[in-house]
Amino acid sequence: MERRERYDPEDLEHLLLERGYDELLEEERAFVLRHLSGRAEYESMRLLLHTVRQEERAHPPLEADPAVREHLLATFRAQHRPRPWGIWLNSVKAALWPEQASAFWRPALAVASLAVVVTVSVIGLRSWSDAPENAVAVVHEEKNVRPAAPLNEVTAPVTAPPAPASGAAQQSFKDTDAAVGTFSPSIAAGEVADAAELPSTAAVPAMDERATLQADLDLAKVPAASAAPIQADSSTLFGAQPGHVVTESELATNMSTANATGAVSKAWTSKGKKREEKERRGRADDGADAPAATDATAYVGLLRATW
Amino acid sequence: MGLFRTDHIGLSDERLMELIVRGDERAFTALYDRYQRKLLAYFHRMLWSDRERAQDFLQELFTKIAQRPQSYDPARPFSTWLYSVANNMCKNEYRRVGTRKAAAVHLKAETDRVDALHGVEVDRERFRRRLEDELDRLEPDHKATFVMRYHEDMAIKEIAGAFGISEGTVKSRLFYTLKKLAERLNEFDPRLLSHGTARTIRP
Repeated sequence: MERRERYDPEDLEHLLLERGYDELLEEERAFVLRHLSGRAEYESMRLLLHTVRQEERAHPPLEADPAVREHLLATFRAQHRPRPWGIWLNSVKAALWPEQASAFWRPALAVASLAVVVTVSVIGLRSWSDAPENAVAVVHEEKNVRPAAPLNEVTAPVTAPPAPASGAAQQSFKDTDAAVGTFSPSIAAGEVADAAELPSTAAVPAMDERATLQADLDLAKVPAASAAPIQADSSTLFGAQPGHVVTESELATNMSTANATGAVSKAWTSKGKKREEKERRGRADDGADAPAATDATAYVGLLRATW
Repeated sequence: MGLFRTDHIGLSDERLMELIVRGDERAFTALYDRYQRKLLAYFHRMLWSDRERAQDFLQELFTKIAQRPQSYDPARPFSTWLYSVANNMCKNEYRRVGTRKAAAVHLKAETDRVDALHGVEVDRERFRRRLEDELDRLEPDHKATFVMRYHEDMAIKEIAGAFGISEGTVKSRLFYTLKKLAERLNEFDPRLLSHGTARTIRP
């Protein structure tokens, strides 16, 4: 079997360093001659190699200038001098913007956690501050309530038990009641103040005229003595409505009608208003004269029930 | 205090680099002391025997280490990485200086050196100068391979790692470089040079 030689210059280098051409074995010489021309070349290379190595050993080693060392140490110290702000900024940058994209979940998680904490803190702080026991001072809304004394003075003599009345009677006065803000003794002073929407200044004279016309009928049958103690001023009822004094007849008309029909409490509710509106439409369909006759009968019955 | 001090002299190059990254000045000093002679000699051989230039390159190389120690790849042996950086610096210098200027620099350096000698040493110095001339005529990689192997006594494996080539390629480079130099320097009798009685073989 033929032996295959492989090219290995390191082996040749080893031979050049260790043995002369005459000292080579037959196999080694054959190997050398396969790559070199002959003895002369082998010996030349061998001596050159020895000379280079000897020269290197004989050559004094070079030493760097001490200034180089000092300069390098100064550079190293300057580079590694502790810089707190630089370290802090580097850590912030590394935390918020990592070099690897796969590590971005960490700053994302941190920012999301911070957002959740801030949101919960704000919500909790607001709820805590809204608690009344934590308030430094509680502000109550003061309603514009009329003095109770004049109301009581007015309402006491005209108090009467509510009597059932026909729908026509209620209808005849409901417009006035709704517009003026019907006063009823059964309604507390505070309730009146809360519920009554004071009419505009333009609507008041018209309502007064109507109330006067209606009162003409009532006053003919109402004893004057009973109306005597009733004193009222429009400023009491309408607050900032100057120049109009409620007459006794007006007040009596309003009071008596409202008490008789019992529509006062209902008139303020939107439900009652809707129902009355519906009834009014129904009556309008029946005929134009019917309401007038019905109203007259209702007034008589109303006054009788009152007195 | 001395009980807790690290003996930097016995540490490996890689361990010293780890300490340098952390800012250990003594590790940097130990590494510099370990390699400054070898690298200065390497730069001296590679840069036309210009001592000042070799010193500048040595300083530049260790400045890089001081400023950016993170650039070292711990997966590689430190000596391999160090010589690869040094070799790249020399290649850049070759490109920067150019052939003519390099020859001029070399000639001046040799003239100054020979003028300082006399007697028997002259022939030996002439042989060295001729050897360096022939080395400069080689390809930079072949020259660096020769210098690393026969001047720096680096192993074949280390040289292969520094150049990023196979060991077989390194051996091949060495063989043909030695063969070429022997042909070009056959006018000298190395045997006589090695014995101290220098004599030029005339054709």
